[in-house]
Amino acid sequence: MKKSILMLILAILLSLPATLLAAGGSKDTIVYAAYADIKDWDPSVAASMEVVMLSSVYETLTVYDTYGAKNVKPGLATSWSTSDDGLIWTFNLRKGVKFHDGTPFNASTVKYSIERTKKMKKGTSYILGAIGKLSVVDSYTVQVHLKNPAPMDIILSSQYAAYIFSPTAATRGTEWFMQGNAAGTGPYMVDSWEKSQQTVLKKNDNYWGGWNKKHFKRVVIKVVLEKSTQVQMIKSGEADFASLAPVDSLPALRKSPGVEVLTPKSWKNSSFLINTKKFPTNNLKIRKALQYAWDYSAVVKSIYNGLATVAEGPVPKNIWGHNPNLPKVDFNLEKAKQLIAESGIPKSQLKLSMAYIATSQEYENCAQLLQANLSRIGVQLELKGGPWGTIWKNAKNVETAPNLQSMTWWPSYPTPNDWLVGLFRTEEKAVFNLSHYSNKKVDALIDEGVKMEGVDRDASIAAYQKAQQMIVDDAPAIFYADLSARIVKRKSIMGYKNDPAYGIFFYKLYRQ
Amino acid sequence: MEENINSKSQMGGRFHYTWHLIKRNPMFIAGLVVVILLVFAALFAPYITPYPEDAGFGINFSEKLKEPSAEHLFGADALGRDIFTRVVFGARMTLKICMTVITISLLIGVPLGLIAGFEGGWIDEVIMRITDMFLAFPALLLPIAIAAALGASIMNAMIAIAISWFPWYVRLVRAQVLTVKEELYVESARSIGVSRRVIIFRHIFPNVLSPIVIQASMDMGYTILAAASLSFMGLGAKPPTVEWGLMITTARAYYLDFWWTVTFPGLAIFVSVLAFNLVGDGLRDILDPKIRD
Amino acid sequence: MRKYLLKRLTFMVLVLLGVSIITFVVSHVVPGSPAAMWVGPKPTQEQLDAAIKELGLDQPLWVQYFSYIGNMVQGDLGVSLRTHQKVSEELSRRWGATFELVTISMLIALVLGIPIGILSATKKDKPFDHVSRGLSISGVAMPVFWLGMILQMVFHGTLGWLPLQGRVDSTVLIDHPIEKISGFYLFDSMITGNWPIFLSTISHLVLPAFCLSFAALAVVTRMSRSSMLEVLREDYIQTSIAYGVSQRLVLFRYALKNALIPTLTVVSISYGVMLGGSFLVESIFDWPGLGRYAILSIETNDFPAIMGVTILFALTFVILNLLVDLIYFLIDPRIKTPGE
Repeated sequence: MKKSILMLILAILLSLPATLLAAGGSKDTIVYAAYADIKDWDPSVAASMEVVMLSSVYETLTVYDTYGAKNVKPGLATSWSTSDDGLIWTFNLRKGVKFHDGTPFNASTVKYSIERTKKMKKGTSYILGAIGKLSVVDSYTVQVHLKNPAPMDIILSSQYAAYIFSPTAATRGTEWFMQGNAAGTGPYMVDSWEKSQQTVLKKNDNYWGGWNKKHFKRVVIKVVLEKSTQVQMIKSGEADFASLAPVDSLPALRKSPGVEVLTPKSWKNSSFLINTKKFPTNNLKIRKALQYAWDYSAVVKSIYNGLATVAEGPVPKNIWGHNPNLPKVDFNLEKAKQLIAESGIPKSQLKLSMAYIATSQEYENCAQLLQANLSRIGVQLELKGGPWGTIWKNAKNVETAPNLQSMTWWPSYPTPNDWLVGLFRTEEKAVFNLSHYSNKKVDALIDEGVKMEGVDRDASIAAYQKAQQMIVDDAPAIFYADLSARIVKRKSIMGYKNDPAYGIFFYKLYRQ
Repeated sequence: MEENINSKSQMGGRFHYTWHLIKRNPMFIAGLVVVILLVFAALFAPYITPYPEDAGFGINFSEKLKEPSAEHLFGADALGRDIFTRVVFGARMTLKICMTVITISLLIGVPLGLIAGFEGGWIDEVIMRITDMFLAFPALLLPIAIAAALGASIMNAMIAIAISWFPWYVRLVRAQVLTVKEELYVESARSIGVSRRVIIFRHIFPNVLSPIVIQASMDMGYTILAAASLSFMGLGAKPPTVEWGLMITTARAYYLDFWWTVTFPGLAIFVSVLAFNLVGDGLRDILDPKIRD
Repeated sequence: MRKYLLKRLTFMVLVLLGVSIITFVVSHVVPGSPAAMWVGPKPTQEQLDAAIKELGLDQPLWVQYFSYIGNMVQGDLGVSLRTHQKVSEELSRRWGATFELVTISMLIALVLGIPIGILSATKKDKPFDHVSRGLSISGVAMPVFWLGMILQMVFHGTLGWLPLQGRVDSTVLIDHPIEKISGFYLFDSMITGNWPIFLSTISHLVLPAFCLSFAALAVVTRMSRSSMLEVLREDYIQTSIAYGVSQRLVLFRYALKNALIPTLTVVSISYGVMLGGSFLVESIFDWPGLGRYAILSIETNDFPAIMGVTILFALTFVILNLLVDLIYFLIDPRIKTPGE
């Protein structure tokens, strides 16, 4: 009796795979495996991976086009112009657009959105810092008044802090958003949010861009925290995108039928910041020695499995303003040894510490590789992996900071000043300048570049390039990797065009 | 006193009986053999492994994630290191963990238990309440909390496990003390005026030793599992330490494609814990007078 | 009896207070930057300072503790630094997931363990007995996270029979939304006749539940076997069998009842072990429960979440122990409750 019941249960279970292990592959639905649940639903606050949802639900006035003839394309604004002094930007808005809740899109909604984001001071709202106020000229013309010149067209194309949303909705406050609500103008609306499990978007029938091409009707953003699971899901077709396939799975994924691995350029880069104020890395020769002890090609090829290219300086190679003439450093243990000897520091004092985010396989492997290489030239390296909160706290204070600190950086809007200001400009109280680096000449060049950005692009570039040269000469970091974007998707998904300024726009995709 | 009469024949008889018990218990022998192998592996690791440098800085990208083969019995990991070598070297850390945790637990637990049992009264109450508080935490929670507080390192993990485990020894020792306290000869010794310290060492301690040894040997297995679990959660061993739990968690991102990276370290944990459990069970069968009769 | 209950309840409250103090101190002393977690990846110094004020981190520790307790008794457990959701809401949502998993695991352990143990005892020293004893011994030695990974590799990777992770298939979830009545998917879907969800939940429960139950299964089997053996040796059992009373009746009437008390002990201990094991199993199987939540909170030093989940675990455990002790008393009044 018991046996037959057991048999029955077993039979049911075995028949389930056919019915329920639904492989994706539907023309209407696309499944994106996210590595975390959406944290900040409020478009004025969001600064992290929720952009995967936000960029399909909300829109910006302009759209950055990295590879286009003109870098900035129309979005919710159809055209724009600046005053001669660069302090007033006038945007002409698109007509006939409605928010998801029915509110019409117009100049006052733009004013409301931008001013709200600036006032709340959350997330990356600092990019709006140059703005004094916005004024409504007429229903479809809005003016942005600046305190100092700034490239407003680029800034308002940012995928953070530049979204336009319905005031009717937003007056209900952040709590309303946090319940999984949204009110943008984008091609998709939020259908449901199963907390910690998935968010479902459905198509906005009234989208101004129209639905006359092949488009997905539904987007499922599924929370899959385990990376190994993401890999299996992309292989089986249960997911169409894997957001964080582990680096070491890429070779197998490349060979997997039905899976496509793209590694297009992004603007993310990784470096190990070297503490310029702590012994012995306060010695320039030691810092330069460390740069020569890093095995650049092995890291890029064998640890990142081709997901990165060797960096050249503090700013990624493919963003405007990068200095292409920076001196190159390569892996040379002999030279490193020589520099150490020149520094005059005795071997017994060559004890360094290195902190990095413990959950990152890439950092961990890089750290162990450096440790092994340094041991060959008589330098002891102590590894201190830990959670970001802890290592950041330690790194901000020179006494508790390590000699080497992992750092991955990306810009809040398309500009090279983000790295220079964020990482290398003098900070009285260190926030992200964890090399504790301070060079007044560099500061002056950076400030000059920022001032010129909205007015004289060439002058700005010249200043930034000089700053990069000086930074490289001071060796406050091992600049080792320009990271590529990690696009792991099903071959059947078409229409993906990479732009380092953005992530994925589901509206542009369709299934073959 | 009575112990000296016929001691030799009694000793001989006892020894013979014990040997008989051991022979009758093949599981105990099997466990013991594995434990001895473990110790052997720990001691002679550099001599019995093909790539001893892989337990240190031996990074070799050309071998990266190779399947098990003649060159790499257990395959290679993401930095090209031989997994068989690292599993064998991992035995060192495993034994170190066992020794350290049990030692700390005993060092804290035994004196507290002795004091609680012997003194009685409010000292006993206080110690027991504190112990109960520690025991109120469900199994792994306290070690996790302590390890998280102290910061991730294998030493802190060991301390954390020891802190969560010593209350058991307090209870164990206290119970033994209470039982023994009622034995007449302790009372008679006291009435004669023998000092407390002598009583503890002569009478209570030897009786307490047996249950402690049994409990400790049974706990070794749990200790290994707890340490591996903490390392798995990122709260224990950190690279470049060679530890089985850490090896599994390192491979967590890609094990579904590279099965050998987690199977063999996990197997090592399983076999070690099993062996210690068998030894513990066996010791209990042999040493515990209650079961013997 | 009443005095005993009162004593236990007071003790419970003291223990919970103790747990809360220890956890609070530990989670605030850990070096970290809760403000950093709160504000996001690229904050400015002003945002950090504002966050510190907002989170009350500039107050002395004891002030923070008392305001936390004050809020707690009103039901406000704070907001998670990692997810920006209310901790109380997250706990209640995830509790259902963990409780369902642990209960099913416990059921597996009992439903499989007791019969196997008893059968083992009646077939002592035969092959069946050897296999079951082997499994018993292995069960407590196996690292539960490793077992989970092996199960995934075999049953999903190689055989493709069972799903890899999660509580329910996402496509099924969209097409057949679950009406949340109790938070237990099996129960809710059965009541509302939502059969696709029901089947999907079962298939997703198999591996994690089996994995979590394995150690308890081993213990229950072993214990059932030994208590069965003891009972079989009893004189009155031998006598009944000699007199011709059917073995099955004997087993049922006497053996099971005697096995009940030790079983209860094992259940209560196993429940505690499973709560700990749930951390690991939920991680491997991406199960949206409390265990997973606890690990994520610890990894990110999300102290409101850590406090909430620790106190909840401690509370569950303490209540469980109390219930078990009360059941002992109900089953067998001969057992003296301590203090009488």
